[in-house]
Amino acid sequence: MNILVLKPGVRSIDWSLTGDGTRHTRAGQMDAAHIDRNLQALRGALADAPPETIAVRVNHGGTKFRGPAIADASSLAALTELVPEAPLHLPVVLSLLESGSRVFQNVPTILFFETAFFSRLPRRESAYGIDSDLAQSLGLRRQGYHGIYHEAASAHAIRQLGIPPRRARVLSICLEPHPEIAAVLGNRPVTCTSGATPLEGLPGHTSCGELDPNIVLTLARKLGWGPEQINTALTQRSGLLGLAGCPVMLDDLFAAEAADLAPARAVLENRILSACGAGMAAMGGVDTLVFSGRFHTAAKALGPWLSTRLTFRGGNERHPPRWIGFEEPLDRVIAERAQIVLLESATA
Amino acid sequence: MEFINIYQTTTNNILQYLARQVLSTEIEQCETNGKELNMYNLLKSKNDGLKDDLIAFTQKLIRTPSPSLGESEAATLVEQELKRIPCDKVFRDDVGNVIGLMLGREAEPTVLLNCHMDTVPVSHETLWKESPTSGSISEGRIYGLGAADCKGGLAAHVYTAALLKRSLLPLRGNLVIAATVAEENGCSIGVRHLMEKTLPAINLKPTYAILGEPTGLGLYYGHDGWVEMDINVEGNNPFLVDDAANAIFNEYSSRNTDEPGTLSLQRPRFRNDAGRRQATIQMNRRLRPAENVGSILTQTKHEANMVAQANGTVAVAVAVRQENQKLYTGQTTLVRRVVQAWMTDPFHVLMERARQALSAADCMARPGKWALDRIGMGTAGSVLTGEFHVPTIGYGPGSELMAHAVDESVSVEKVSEAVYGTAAMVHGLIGIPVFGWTADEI
Amino acid sequence: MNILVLNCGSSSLKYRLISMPAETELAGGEAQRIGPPTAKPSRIVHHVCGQAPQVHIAPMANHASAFEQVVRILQQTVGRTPDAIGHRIVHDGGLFGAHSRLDDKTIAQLETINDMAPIHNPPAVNLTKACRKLYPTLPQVAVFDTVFHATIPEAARTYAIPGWMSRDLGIRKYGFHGISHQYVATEAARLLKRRMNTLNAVSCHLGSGGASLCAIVNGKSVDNTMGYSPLQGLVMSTRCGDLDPAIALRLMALSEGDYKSVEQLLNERSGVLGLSGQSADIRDALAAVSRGDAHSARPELAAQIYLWRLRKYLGAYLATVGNADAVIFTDTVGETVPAVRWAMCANMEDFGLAIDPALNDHAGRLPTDISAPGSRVRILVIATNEELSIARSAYSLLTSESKPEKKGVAV
Repeated sequence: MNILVLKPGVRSIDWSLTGDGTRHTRAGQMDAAHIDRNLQALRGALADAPPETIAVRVNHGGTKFRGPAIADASSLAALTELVPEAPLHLPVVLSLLESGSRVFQNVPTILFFETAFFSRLPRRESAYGIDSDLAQSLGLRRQGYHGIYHEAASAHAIRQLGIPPRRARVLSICLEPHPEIAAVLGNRPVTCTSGATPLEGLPGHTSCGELDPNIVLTLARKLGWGPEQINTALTQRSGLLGLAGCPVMLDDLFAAEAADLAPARAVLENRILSACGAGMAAMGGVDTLVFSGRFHTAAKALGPWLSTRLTFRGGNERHPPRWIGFEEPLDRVIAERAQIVLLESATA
Repeated sequence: MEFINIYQTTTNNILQYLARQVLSTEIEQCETNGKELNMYNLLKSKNDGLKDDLIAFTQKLIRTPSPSLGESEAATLVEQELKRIPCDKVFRDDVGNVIGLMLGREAEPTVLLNCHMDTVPVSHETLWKESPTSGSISEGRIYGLGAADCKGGLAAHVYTAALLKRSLLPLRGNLVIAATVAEENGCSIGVRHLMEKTLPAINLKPTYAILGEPTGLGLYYGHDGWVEMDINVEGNNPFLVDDAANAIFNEYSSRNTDEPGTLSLQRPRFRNDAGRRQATIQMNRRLRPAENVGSILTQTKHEANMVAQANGTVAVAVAVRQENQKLYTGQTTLVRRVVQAWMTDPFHVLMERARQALSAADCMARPGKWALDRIGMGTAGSVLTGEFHVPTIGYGPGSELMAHAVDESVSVEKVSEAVYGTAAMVHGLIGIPVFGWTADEI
Repeated sequence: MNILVLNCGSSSLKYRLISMPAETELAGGEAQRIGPPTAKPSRIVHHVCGQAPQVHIAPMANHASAFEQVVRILQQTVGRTPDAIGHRIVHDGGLFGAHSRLDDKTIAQLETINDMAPIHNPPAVNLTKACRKLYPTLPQVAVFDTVFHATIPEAARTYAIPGWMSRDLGIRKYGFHGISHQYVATEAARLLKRRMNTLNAVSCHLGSGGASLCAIVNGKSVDNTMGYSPLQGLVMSTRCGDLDPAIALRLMALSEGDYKSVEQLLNERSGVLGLSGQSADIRDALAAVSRGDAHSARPELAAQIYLWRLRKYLGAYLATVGNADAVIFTDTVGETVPAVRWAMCANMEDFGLAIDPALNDHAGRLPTDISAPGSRVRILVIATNEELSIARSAYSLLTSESKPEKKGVAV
């Protein structure tokens, strides 16, 4: 079956077509400005292998979407209500779906949400230490933003372990430009480093990650900056860029020869180790670490190191945590999941 | 076709390659300011896409004459453009103001973007290089009557709505774009009606207002005012009346040279009416922020009396000039010719947030006030702040020096920048904040 | 040497007169309701060791006049004047890096960093000035909460923000509660019969107000849950602790840029108070949950979030430290609430840590060890004594100054 995977961003939309049983794929990127025109052109370009299903990756589904959803009137209405929670990304998704339903008429469209996996995060993990009424009214809760990877990678890791899935304790480390660590206890996430937005958690390529909230207020006081300016500094000029003073990618950071990046690397390692320790405490231990994401190759450096650091004398030393890599790219993961969803809906 | 890069190779290779491509561009973009994938650059790129339409619309506005009280055609033009965006609602009110609404998810706050559609009469038309309605572009400037005051600003306001719409950014509060009538001639009749009748009727009360009057893209927070007075001299003896009137005229003329820019006056006009001689001197006087009209009138009456009494017994009266004006809609309104001085606190939250939003958008945020070097100029800020207590600032592409000048013009770039800057401010005030979510790649 | 230890609150002044190096407490007390007259008079509750406390009523318009009264009362009751003063000062602003002798120059330096700890530093700094004026020759020492954390390595103290912000604005992790963490770590080393400079531990200072965890390697702090300010980290009585920076930005935008109201919200109306909606004291929330009160849903959530964050940080720091010798609990909540220690230490065998439920429930006289027999990591409950810690630091500084050739011997 030909599955067209669409990954809308803010200004552009990545697409890829996965064919039947083969690993041959066509892929590209289109401008998000003229979606109608571009989708029509895409339909033309794919005339020899017309997509039979469309799978759309959606960055944010809040608490409304706890799993994949068929794009229809009710899911679109629910998505529209979520726009304020991801105001830069969801409008593009909505116009993509609108155009898609015109251009690819009668092609079923399935939505895959990065947040769905985290919709069942326990409240003790998802809630912040602020007034619960305020948090409720503003929809402030912690969730993750690489749920599709975490779900697939941890399932993969559990299969490799050969222990009952319910008892499996997995630390899932997603190495993307915005890296994210989740503790997964028997298929269910119990911690996540990201927050109400992707800004919290581990430092990313350009995002600051965890920060004393007072720093935000100090910048306002000392520099006279408004929230918009502070936001730009913290989301786009921070992270590895801010630490190293130049753009750095995760795999370069963990490459052996990167001596000049040692300080930035030390910061990230420190945060990763803390997050893993926290996840381990949350699960009462850890059986395996799994690395996914486009920079999963950094696992070669991180895996053995973390595994050693998470082994404790008089504790788990007889069963130190293993580590494995999950190398599947996101498009492939989504395409495979789309097949499963279709099979399930067909049998149901 | 706007595709780039269609590859055919094995999944892993190409996706890794693609990932690399996408990423390396993103990271490279982070080095150079202005190319980061944030909300402001989204706005910037969408604004670039709107520029041609914006400039064409500005030219069309200039080519459509809109003298005060004759704004009908220009109003139609603005209405069509607002409908094309499309705004959530576009309509005209009883006095002929054109209103476009973009409704947010909450009832408050509301930002009013206001520009007047009318222009002053052409002065010194023979001195103009080209027709005042040419709307022609030369060396990056659009020429024509109202280019700076304030059709450039009006076009920018209309396109601010278009830009926000095009960017798909959701709004929390409401945006009102109001193109109003009879500003130049009518002492803000249009704005007063808008605030008294039109907006209350649809349950909207602006929290803040931004005027598109010429500020050279500075953030202006007020100006001095002015009052137009008639000094009437009346008596039985025509010679004494004439002497008194001329003495008053001479007195104020000499003061005007002492304090330039404070007064302007016309020679007395005389007439006989039912056996009485009457003289009228039209005098315009600048109002400083602390001065009020009543005390100025009393003071002027005392002064004029002093001068007049020296010449014998004549009666002197001073009054604010009033006139009936017929709007293009056919309505008639009595107008008192006063513009109050006004000022929004330069540290008011509106100024602060506007400054912060402009800085975040990489725009200059230069605070200032209109100089109003020539008497008889003003803005709707007087009515908005003084009568309706709406904190108001100005941000417009034209230069104040160009207002009412020969060969009036406005910079093409500035008009386009005004759209971007205004959109950034409006988003800061009523947008749903885009924090934490920034990069394309999460 | 009799050292008078002074600890300023916003309207209070705690003091102890301690004889060093014997570490004998001679007298102590607290001046209360310092400031403009209120309905209740300002007073000093004073005790001489071994005697019942006495109450002295005296007008005290500021900390300086409170200090004068304290000295007068000490003369009357103990018959001694101090030989030195040890001031507790929260923030050294990264300027000192060590506990320091106070003179005009260092006091002037301290005044430049008042804005870094706007609530805590100014009254204490003002008091140092007043003391210097009254007793110009009396040696005075500033003992800082941040100094114990000066050893936090760059990797842990650096925020991933643009470099110029860290450099020009001094934005980095400072860490707090250092006086207490240092004290209990020193005591733990003594109990475990180890040299302080070989001790690896996680110290949990759980106060009824503020709280922080400290990772200690070789007797030195390597991480603290508090950061640039005491706002970061754990959920506290009224402070939110860790928060997505985007939430702070959003709150700022919603209040139209009014960062002060956000500061107040996050510092004074969040944490256990904001979550439970009832009380800022976690003990109230835990009690409501165990009583099964009708309206215990919010307190239960508050307790869950409070405990969960603690447990996660314990795991984080056990990983940071490596093979810790001890987990230390101290201060009001740490010393007296078994449920908190239990929630943190239960089911942590993979870390080499096992708690003994019975010992935990009946901790009794402190210090005590509540770990199960098989636990490699000891779990210690130790009463903190910040005043003694300050006296030790001050004494060590003053004696090493006078005898520069002789190095102080650790523990």
